[in-house]
Amino acid sequence: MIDNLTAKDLLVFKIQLFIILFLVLTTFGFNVQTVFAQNTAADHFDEFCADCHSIGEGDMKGPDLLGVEQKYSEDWLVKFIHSSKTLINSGDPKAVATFEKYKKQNMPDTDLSVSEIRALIAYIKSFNKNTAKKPSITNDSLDVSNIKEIKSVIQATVEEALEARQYNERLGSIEKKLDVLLQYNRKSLSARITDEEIEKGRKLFEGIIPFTGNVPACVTCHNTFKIDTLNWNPSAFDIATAFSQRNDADITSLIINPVSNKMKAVLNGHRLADYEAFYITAYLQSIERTGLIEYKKLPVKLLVFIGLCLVMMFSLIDLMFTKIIKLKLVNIFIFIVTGILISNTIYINAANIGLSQNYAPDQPIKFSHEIHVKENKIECLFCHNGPEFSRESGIPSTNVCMICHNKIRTGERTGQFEINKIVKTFENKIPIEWIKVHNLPDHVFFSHAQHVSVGKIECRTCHGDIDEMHITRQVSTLSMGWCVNCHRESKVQFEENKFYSEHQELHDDLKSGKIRMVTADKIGANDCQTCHY
Amino acid sequence: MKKYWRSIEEKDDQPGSNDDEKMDESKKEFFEEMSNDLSSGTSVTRRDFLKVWGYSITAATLVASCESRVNKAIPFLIKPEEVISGIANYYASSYVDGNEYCSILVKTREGRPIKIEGNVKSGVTKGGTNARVQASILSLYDESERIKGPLHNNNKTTWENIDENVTPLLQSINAKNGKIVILSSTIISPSTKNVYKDFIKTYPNTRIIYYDAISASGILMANKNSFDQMVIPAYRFERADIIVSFGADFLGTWLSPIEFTRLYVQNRKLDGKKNMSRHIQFETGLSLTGSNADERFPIKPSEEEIMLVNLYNELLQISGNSTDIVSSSPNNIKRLANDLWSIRGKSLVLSGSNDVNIQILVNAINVLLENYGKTIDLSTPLYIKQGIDREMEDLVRDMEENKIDALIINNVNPAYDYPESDKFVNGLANLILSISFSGTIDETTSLVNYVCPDNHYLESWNDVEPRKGFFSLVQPTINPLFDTRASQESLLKWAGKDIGFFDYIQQHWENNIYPLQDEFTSKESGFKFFWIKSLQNGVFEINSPAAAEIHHKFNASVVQPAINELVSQKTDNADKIELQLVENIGVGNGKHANNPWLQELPDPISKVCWDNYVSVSPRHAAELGVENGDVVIVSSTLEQIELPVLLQPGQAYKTISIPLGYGRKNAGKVGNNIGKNAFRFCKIKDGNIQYKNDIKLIKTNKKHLLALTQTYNSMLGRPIVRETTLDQYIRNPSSGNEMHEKQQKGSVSLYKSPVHIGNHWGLSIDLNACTGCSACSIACQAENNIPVIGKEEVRKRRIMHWMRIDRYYSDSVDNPQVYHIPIMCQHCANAPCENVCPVAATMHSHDGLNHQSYNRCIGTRYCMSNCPYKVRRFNWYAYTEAEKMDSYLNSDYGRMVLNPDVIVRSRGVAEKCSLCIQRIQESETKAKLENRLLNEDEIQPACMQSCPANAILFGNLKNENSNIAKKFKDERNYHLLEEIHVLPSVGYLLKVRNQPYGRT
Amino acid sequence: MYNTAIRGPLIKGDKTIHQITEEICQPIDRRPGYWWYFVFLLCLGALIYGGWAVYITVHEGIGTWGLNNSVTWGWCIINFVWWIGIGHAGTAFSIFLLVLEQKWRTSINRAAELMTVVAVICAVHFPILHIGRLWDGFFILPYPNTRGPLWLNFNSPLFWDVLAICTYFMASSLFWYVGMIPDLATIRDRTTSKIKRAIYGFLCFGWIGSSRDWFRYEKLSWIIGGLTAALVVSVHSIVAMDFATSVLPGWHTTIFPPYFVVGAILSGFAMVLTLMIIIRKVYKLNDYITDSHLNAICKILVFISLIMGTAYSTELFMAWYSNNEYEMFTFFHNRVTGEYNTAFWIMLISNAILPQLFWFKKIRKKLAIVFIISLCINIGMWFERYVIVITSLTKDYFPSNWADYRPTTVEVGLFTGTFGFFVLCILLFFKYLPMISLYEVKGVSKYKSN
Repeated sequence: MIDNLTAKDLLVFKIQLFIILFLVLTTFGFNVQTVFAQNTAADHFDEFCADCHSIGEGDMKGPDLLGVEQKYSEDWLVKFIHSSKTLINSGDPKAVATFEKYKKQNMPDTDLSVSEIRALIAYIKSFNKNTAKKPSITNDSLDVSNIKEIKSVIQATVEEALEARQYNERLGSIEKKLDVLLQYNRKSLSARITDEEIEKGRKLFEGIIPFTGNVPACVTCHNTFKIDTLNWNPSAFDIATAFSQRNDADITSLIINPVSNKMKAVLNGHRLADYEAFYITAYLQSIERTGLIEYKKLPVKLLVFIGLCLVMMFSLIDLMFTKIIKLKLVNIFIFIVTGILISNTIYINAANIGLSQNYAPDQPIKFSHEIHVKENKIECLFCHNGPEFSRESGIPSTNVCMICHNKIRTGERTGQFEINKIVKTFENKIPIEWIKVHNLPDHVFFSHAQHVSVGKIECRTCHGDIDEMHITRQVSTLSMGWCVNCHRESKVQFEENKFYSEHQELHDDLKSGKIRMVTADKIGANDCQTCHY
Repeated sequence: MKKYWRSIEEKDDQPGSNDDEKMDESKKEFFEEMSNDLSSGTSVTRRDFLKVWGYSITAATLVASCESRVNKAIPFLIKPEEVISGIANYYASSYVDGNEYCSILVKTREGRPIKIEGNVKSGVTKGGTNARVQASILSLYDESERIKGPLHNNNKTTWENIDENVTPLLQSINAKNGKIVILSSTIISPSTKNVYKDFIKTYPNTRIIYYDAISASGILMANKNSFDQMVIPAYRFERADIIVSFGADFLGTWLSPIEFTRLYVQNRKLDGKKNMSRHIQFETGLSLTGSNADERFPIKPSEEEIMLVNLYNELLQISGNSTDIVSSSPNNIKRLANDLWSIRGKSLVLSGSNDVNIQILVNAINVLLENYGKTIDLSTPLYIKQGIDREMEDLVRDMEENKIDALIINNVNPAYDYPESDKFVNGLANLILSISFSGTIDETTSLVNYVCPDNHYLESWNDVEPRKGFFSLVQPTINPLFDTRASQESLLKWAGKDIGFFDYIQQHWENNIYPLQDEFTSKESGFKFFWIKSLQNGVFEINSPAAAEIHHKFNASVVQPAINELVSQKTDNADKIELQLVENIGVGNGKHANNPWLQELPDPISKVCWDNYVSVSPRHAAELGVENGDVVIVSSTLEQIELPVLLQPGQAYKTISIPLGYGRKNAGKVGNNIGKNAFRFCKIKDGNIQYKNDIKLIKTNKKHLLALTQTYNSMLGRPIVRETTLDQYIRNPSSGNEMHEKQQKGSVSLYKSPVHIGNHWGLSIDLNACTGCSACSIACQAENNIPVIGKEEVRKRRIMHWMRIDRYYSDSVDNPQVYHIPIMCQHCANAPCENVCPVAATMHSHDGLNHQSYNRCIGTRYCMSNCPYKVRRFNWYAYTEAEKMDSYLNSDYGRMVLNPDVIVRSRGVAEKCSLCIQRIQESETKAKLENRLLNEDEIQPACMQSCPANAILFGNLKNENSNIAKKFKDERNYHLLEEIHVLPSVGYLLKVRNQPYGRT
Repeated sequence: MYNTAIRGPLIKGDKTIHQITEEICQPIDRRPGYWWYFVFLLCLGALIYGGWAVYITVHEGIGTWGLNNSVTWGWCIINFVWWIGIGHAGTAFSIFLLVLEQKWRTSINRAAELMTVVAVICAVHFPILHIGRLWDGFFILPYPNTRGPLWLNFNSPLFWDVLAICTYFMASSLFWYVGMIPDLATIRDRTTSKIKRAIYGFLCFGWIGSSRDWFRYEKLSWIIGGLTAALVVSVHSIVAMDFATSVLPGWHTTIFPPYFVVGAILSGFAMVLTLMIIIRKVYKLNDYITDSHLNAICKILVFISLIMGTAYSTELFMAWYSNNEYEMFTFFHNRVTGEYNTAFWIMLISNAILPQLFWFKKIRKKLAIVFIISLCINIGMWFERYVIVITSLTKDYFPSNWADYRPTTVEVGLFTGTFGFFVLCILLFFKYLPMISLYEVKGVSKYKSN
C-alpha cells in the first residue's frame, strides 16, 4: 500500500506519524498521582456498571472503561452516565459514535448524583494511574518545537482535501492511511524493544531472575511452552494475544496493579517494579509473535526399537561370524526374543496407523467437561442436542454457552479469562474454532440417533468418563474392529422397539430360546453399507 | 479476538490477515470454509498462496506420516432454530422457468439446497418431476453461467448506480412519449403481472410482449378464433380412451409434459384392471411420445395437414353431415375415424403444430367428437405459454425501424433463439436503453446496456398460476449467492414503489387470492394462517367442480376457410427433404445448455449426449450414401450448418429432424459451442413460427464421432423387454411371460437359498408406465453425487449414470416398435459380483441389498466384468478434479450441490446403484426413533420419487401384503436374465400394447 | 556317452568335459558382439516406453487405457495370461521331463527355467497395474488388521491367483537358482578377475563340490522339483478359474482349467523352441542343442496342439449342445463369424492346425519353418486370450451394453515394456550366467558314460 503513495502523500504521512507519536507518548507520560479511597465508588461500580463494563479486562456489552477519562472530558462523562439517551438524542457526535459502536444498546440511566459520578470516574481513573513508562523513550524521537509547523501543514492538507471533489473518497483513503500509520507507529514502538530487554523479560517471567518485590515468578502459573497437562491459568501466549489489541500501557499497568482476585491473591500486596513490568510486557509482545515454545519429546519408542534392531543384528553377526558368545543357544535366544519384540512393535504401530486413541488436543478455550457435567450436573443433551434425533451430536453453538455465561462470568479455576473468550467471540460474531477430537474418516457414516436414542447406549460407552475430563480426550480407538466387535456383542432393543416386530424369525428364535438375545450384527449392523455409502 | 495461525510466515504476514478481519462479519462464517481464491483480489496474493500451499504440503506429508490431521469444528454462533446439522429440511416451492412449471420440495442440508423432489400436494404435477427440474439445482451453483452482479455495458457496477441511471432514463423516455417494451418469457406469476401493471401505471407508454422460444401461439390464436378465448385448454389424458396425436410430443416436450405424463399413465397402467387407452401417433421424427404409442405412423411434416383434413372429412361423413371427400384417405384414417366416432367424448385429438389453421381443424375435430368439456377443458386453461409470435415479429420490425426506445428483456434470449435473430440484434443497437434481467449469461445479455441479474428461482420469492385456479408459491431456500436482485424488485424500484417483492406478493395474495377460499375466515389472523398453510403446502388450489361444466360456443364458421387454406397450400412435396425442428428432453430450447447433467443426459430415443445431429431415416441415408457420424451440410435459404448424421429408425422417409437448443455461443464454460444452433431454420408463416422447413442436404467427407451411450439397438430376440398385446393379455394374463413360470420352476440350486432378515428390499418397474423420460437418471445423479465425465469419455462408453434407460427397437427399421427399460443394479440374491471380489468390497446385506463399500474397493473390476447386467461403473479418472472434467465438481460453488449423505468416490473405485441406501437408513432410523414399523411408502429412492409416471415402486418383498409383493406376484412380473439364476430383487412388469388391429 | 538306441548321442561332437566348459562359458568370458549391444539398446528403448506407460497409468488412472464400462478387462489381462502361459514352459520342461527321465532336457532346461522366472515377473506387472487403487493394493493380502478384523473374500479366484502366482514365482525361481549353483561355482573357479570371483563365490554359496554338497544338492533339487510340479498345474488352472467362475457366456465353462494348462504348455514350449533356435544360431551351439532336441520339442507340440484342437471343438460343441442362446451367440456369431472372427481364426489355425505340420519329418528338419511355426503358435496363443477376454466382454447379455474395445498407446506401451524387460533379462543371462546347465550336460556327455 505504501508503494502506491505519491511523495506528497508521504510527507503528510510523516507528519501524521509525528502527531500520533506525540499523542501516544504524552499519554504515557501522563501520570496523575491521585489516590482515592473510594469504597462507595467501587460499590457503585459493582452495582451499576459491572454487568456491562470491565476495567482493563476487555469489552463486554459496553466498552472497557480503562482510560475512559482520557478519551472524554469529565463533564461529558457525567452527562453521559447520568442519561446517555438524552445525550445521544441531542446528537452529540461522540455519544452517537459510542452508541453505534456498541450495537445500539442503551446504557440505562442512573440516578447517581454528580459527585457520585465523579467519584466513580475517579475510581475508574485509579486503575490507570500507574502506566508503565520507559524513561528512555519519552521524548527523544519527537521534536516538539515543530508541532506548530506540522499543525499548519495538516491544516492546509485538510483544507485541500475538503476542496477536493471526491471529498468522501479522500477522507476514506486518509483514514486508511492513518490505519497504516498507526501500525507503523506500533511497529516502531515494538522495534524499540531490544532483544536484550526481551531476554530479560523472559528470565523474569521464567523466574531465572527473581522479582524484586518477593513476587513469585510468572511461569509458576503461566506456562511459556506447550504442555500436555492441564494448566487452568492462561499461558503466556494467551495473555499476550488477549491484550494485543490494546496499547501496551494497559498490560504494563495491569501487571503492576492487577484487577483479578486471583492475581491479587498471588501477589499478596507486593508490587512489581516498573522496569520489571516493562520487561515482562516486552517479553509478552515477543511471545505473541513467536508463539509458545514447543519442546520436542524424546522419541523413546523409536530409540528402543532401534536398540532392539541393533541387538538382534549383533546377535546374528556373533552367531555367524564373530562367535564371541560361545553358547549358541544364548545368541539364538536373544535373536528370537528381539525378533518377537520387534515384530510386535511393528504390528502394534502399524495397526494404529490412522487411529488416534487418547487424542486430546489443546482447545482454543479451556472448556472442562468435568466442571460442567460432574460439578454442575449439566446433562449431556443440554448442550449437545443432536444425538437424540440427528446423525450428528452437534457441537453447541455459542448462544448455547451464553445461556449460562450471560450471567456467570467468573470461573472457579480460570477466573474471568476463559469465559471472557466466549463472550468476546459472541459479541464479535466470530464462531469459536474448536479442534475436533473424535474424527471419523469421511467414508464412515455414523448415526448418533441410532445409537443413543434407538440403541439406548450411554454416551460413556464410547466417549468414556467424559465427566472426569478437564481436557476432552478420545477414549475409544474408533477403529472399524472396535465398532464391529461392539455390534457383535451389544444387545438390540429388540422387543422394546416396535420397529423390529417385522423380524419374525428372530422373535421366534428368542421365544423358543434358540438365541438368548439379538445382537446388532444379527440384524445387519455389520453389513458394509450400514456405515459406508 | 484471539487469533490462531498456522505458521510464523502467516502470522507475520499481517496485511492478509488484516483484510480478513475487515471482511464483512456476516460473510465471515461462510468464507471461512471456502478456499482463498474466492475472495479474489482482496486478501491473498499468489505468493501468499504459494507459501501456505508449500507449508501445507510439507505439513501434510509430515503429519500424515505420524499423526492425523487436525480437523476444526466450527459451530454456529447463533444456531437458527430450524437448522439441525445432519437433518435435512424440506421447503415447498415451485420450479418456474418461463414456460416450464413444476411444484417441488427443495431438500436443504445445513442451509444449502441439495436436491429437488416432486410435491405430491400439487394438483398439476402431482409429485412428478422431469430431468430439467431435477437438474435445476445445479444451475443454482453454476459459477460459470450466473451473473455475479449488475453490469453496465458489460462492466461491473452497483445496484445504486443502476437505479440512479435507469430511472431517469426511463422517466425521460416516458416524458417524450417514447416507447418502452418489456419483452418477457410467459409470465405465470399473478404478482409479477401486477408488478408489470404497476410499472405501466408509472410509464404508460410501456407495452408487454411475451415471447416463447418454442411458441404455442398457433393454439392460442386458434382457440381465439374458435372459442373467442386465447388460451391453451387443459387436456385430460386420463379420460381419453383413444389419444391421437399429430406431432405433439406431450410426454417429452410439448406444453406441460410432467402433468401430461401423470395423466396419460393413469389410463395406461394395468393395476388390477384390464383396459387401457389406445395411443396413436402421427409424427415425423421418432419422439419420446411416439416411442410409447401403440401405433405410430411416420409422416412428413407437410402431410399432417392433409391427414387432419381427411380425418375431419371422414368424421363428417360418418356423422352424416357431409358426403364429399377431398382426397382419398389411407385406410388407417378411415379406421381411425370409425374408432374415434364409436367412443365419442372419450377421445383426444392433438396436434403439436404451431399453425393456426391446423389447430382450428383440430378444434373442429374435437368438437365433432364431443370432446370439449370431457377430455378437453377450456375452463381451467394452461397459462404456461402466452406468447403471440406476431407481436414479437412486430417488435423486431419496430426495433429495426427505430420506433422503440427502451427494451426490458426478462428471461428470454432472442439473440439466440429467434429465427430472425440478426434483425433483433440490429434492432437492439437502435435502442436508447436496453436492460436484461437474465440471471445467466447468454447471447442477449452481452448486447444490452444494463444487465440486472435476477435471482435464481431457489433464491427468490414468487407465486405462480400455471393453470387457472391452481396457485403455487416459490420461496427462497438460500440467500442469494451473488449480488443479484429479483427482477420484480427492480421494476418496482424503477416504478417508484418502495416495497419488497415478498411484501408485494403477500399483499397481492391477501387482496386477490385469499378471498377465493373459505377455509380460513378469521378476520385478524385468517390470512396469516392461509399464507402459512399455502407456503407449507407450496400450493393452493381452488376446488370449483362447477367450473368444469362451462360450455363454450364453437365458432364453426372458421373451419371451412382454414381447410380451404390448408388445401390450397398443399404443394407437391414428394421430392423435397423436409426438416423438423425438435426439442430434446435434456437441453430443451437451450436455456439450460450450461448444465452438465442435462448435456450428459442421453436423449431417450437417440441415446446421444453432448451434441445435436441430423436424424435421417436409414432408407433415406442409404440413398444419400451417408452413415452414422458423417457430417452433412444442411441448408435452407437463410441458414447453412454442418451437422453429423444419425441413422434414426422410425424417422419418416425424406425428412430430417434436428434438436434445437444447441450451438450456444455464450452460455458458460460447459455449454459453449456444443452442437449447432438450428433455430434459424424456423420459418415465420402467417405470424407464427413454424418449426419445420424445406432444406437441402449435401454430404461432406468429414466425420464426427457422436457420443452415444448405446450403439446396438436390437434385442436379438432375447427376452429383455417382454411384451404382449392387450387382447392377448385379457385372454391370458401371463401371455408373453410364459417363460417366467418355466424358469421359476426350473430354478434349482445346490446352494442354500438366500435368507433375508427383517426386510427384503426390492424394486418393481412397470414397463407399461415407464415412458423413458429419464428424470430418474438425473434424480439419481443428483442424489448420489454421480460425476459428469464429458463428451470424450462418453464416446469411450464410460458414462457414470447408475440408472440408465436402455432403448431397443424391433420390427421394421422404417417404423420400429420402441422399448424403454430402466436398468440399475438388480441387487441379486446370488450376486455374481459378490463372490469374485478378492477384497470383499461388495457383499450381500441382511435385507437383500448388494452393498458396495467404496473405501474397501481396490478396483480390480472383476465385479464389473462378471456383472451380467453391466450396471457397475468405474471411476476411470479422478472425475472430481479439474484436469478431467472442468464442470462443477472442481468449483467451490459447484461442490455445494453434493449430497453430504453420500461419499464422493475416488479414482479407481467401482460404484453402482445402492437403492439409495442413505434414504433407507434415514427412514429406518426415523421409524426406530418413533418406535413404529416402517410405513409402506416411506422409503422412496430418488428414481421412484422423481418418476412422473409412477413406474417405479420400492418396497419390502418379505411382507406378503405389501404393494411390491403384489406386483411380484402379478402374472406380468419377470426378472432380467432369470435363466442364469442370479435371483434379482428387481422385477419388471411386462409391456402391454393396445393394438387391436395387430402391428400396423 | 549317454546313448540310447533310438535317439543316438544327446550331445554331438565327442566333446571332452573341458571342451564343454569352455564352449558354454565362452559368452561369459568374451565381450558380446555388436548385435548384443544393439538388441540391448532396443530393449532399453522398449523398457523406457513401458516405464512411461506405467507412469501415465499410475499418475492419471486406468482411464488412459482403452477400457470402458463393458470391457473392463483388456490387453493387460490378455498379456498377463499370455505371459503366465509362457512362464509355464521352463518348469514344466524340467519337472515333467525329469519325471519322465528324458535326459535330452539337460541342454534346454536352464534357459527354459530362466524364461519362466522372467515371464512370471512380466506377467505380474499387469494385474498390479490393473488395480484402480494401486496404493491400496495391499488389501488383497491376508494380514491381521484392526478392521474387525476384515479378511478377504476367500471365494474369489483373483485372491487364489495372487497366492498361486506368488508361490509359483518363489518356487520356480528357487528351482532355477538352485540348479545353477554348481555352474556358478565352475565360473568362479575359472575366472581370473577378483571381483567376479567374489561375486560368483557369493552367488554359489561357497560351493566346493564335495560329495556332501552334491548329496544335499540333489535332495534339495528333488524336493523343490516335487513341490513345483504341482504348482505348474495349479497356477494356470487358477488363472483359468478367473474366467470359469464368472457368468459370462464364453467364460463360464468347466473345460477352462485343463484347457488353460495345456494352452500354457503349448505357448511355453513354442517360446522355448523360438528361443532355442535363436540361441543355437547366435552362439553356434549346434552340438548341444541338436536337431534331435528340436525334433523332440516339435513332436511334443504336435501332441499338445491336438489337445488344443480338441478343446476348441469341445467349446464349440458344448455351446451348440447347450442350446443356450447367449453361448451360441458368443461362440458362433461373435467368435466364429462375427467382428472378431479374424482373431478366432488366427487362434485356431496357428494353435491347432499349423503345428500339425510337424507330423512331417521334412518340416521338422527345416529350421526356418519350425521357427516360423513356433512364432505363429506364440502369436496364436496371444490371440486365444484375446478371443476369450475381449469377445466375451464386448458382447455379453444385453446388446445395450455392447461396446467396442481398442487398446491405447499406454496399453501397448506396457506390453512393449514387458517385452523389453524379457529380452533384456535373457541378454543379461547370456552374458553373465551359463546358458546351458554345465554339470547336467557333462552328466550326459561321452566321458560320463565312459
